[in-house]
Amino acid sequence: MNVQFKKGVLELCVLSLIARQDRYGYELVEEISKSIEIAEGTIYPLLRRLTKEGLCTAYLAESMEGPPRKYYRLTAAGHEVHQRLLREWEQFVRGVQHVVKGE
Amino acid sequence: MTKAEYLAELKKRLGALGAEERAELLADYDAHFEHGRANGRTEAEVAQRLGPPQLVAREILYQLSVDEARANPDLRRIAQAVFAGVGLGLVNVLVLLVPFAGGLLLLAGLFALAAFLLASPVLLLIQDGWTAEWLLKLPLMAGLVGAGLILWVALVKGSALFVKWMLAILQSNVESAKEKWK
Repeated sequence: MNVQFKKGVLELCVLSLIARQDRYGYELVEEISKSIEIAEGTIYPLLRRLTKEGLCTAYLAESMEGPPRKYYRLTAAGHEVHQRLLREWEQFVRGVQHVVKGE
Repeated sequence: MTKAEYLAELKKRLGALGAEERAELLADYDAHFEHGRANGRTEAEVAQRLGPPQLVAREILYQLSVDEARANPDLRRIAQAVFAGVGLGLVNVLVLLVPFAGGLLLLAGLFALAAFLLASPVLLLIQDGWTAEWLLKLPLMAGLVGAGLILWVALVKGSALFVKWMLAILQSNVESAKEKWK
C-alpha cells in the first residue's frame, strides 16, 4: 500500500484509540496490529511527533507487570484534529464505495 | 535479533539526534521489548514485529531533518530533508527531486556566468596582455562587469526565492499524508 496513505491511516488509528482512553505505546501497537499490518517500530516516532505538535501529552505510570508505562492522553487540540481526520476519512470511504460499487 | 542488538543498532544510527532525545526514544524501544516479555513474547519476535532498526532510524531521522529544515530553512537542511524523504519513499522523487536538481543546476550555471562576466577584465588581460588593444576594450569590459553585477544580485535574490519555494514543496510533500486527511 502507498506509504503516505498508510501513514495517514496510522495517525488516525492512534488518535482514535487515545481519544477513547489513555493508552501506552505497546498497547497501541497491539491494538492496531490486531486489525491492520504495520511496521510496529514506526509508532514511537509518530507518538513523538503527535506529542511535539501538542495533540497529546505523555505521562508515566507504574504497573504491576512489566516496566512503567508511558501513557498518552489526547489534548483538546488533539480531539479537534481527530474529529477532522475522522470526517475526512468517512467522506473518503463513502467516495470510494460510491466509485467501486457504482451506486 | 536480540533486544541488545536491536537497541545498539538503533543507537548507532541515531547519532544525529540530541543525546536527550535519543535516550528518550531508546527508552521507548527498551520498554517495548520489556512489555513484550511481560506478554510472553521472545526478543526475536518483538524485534521482528518492530521492523528493521535501520528503517525505524530512517523514519526518525527523516522527521528530525524536516523539523530542522522548517525551523531554519536553508539549502543544506532542505537538501538533507529531501534526501531523507526520498530514501524513505515518502517524497515523490519526480515532484521534488527534479525541480530541486534542475533549479540547483540552473542557479549554478547562472552564477558561473555572472562570475565569468565579473572576471572578464582579467580574462581579457590574459588574452591580450597589457596592450593598447586591451585598453580599447575598457568600455566593453565596463558593460560586461555591470551586467555581471546585476546578474549576481538578481541571483542572490533568486536563490533565496528558490529556497523558499523548495521548502514549500517539501513541506507539502512531508505533510501530504496529514494534509490528505485534513
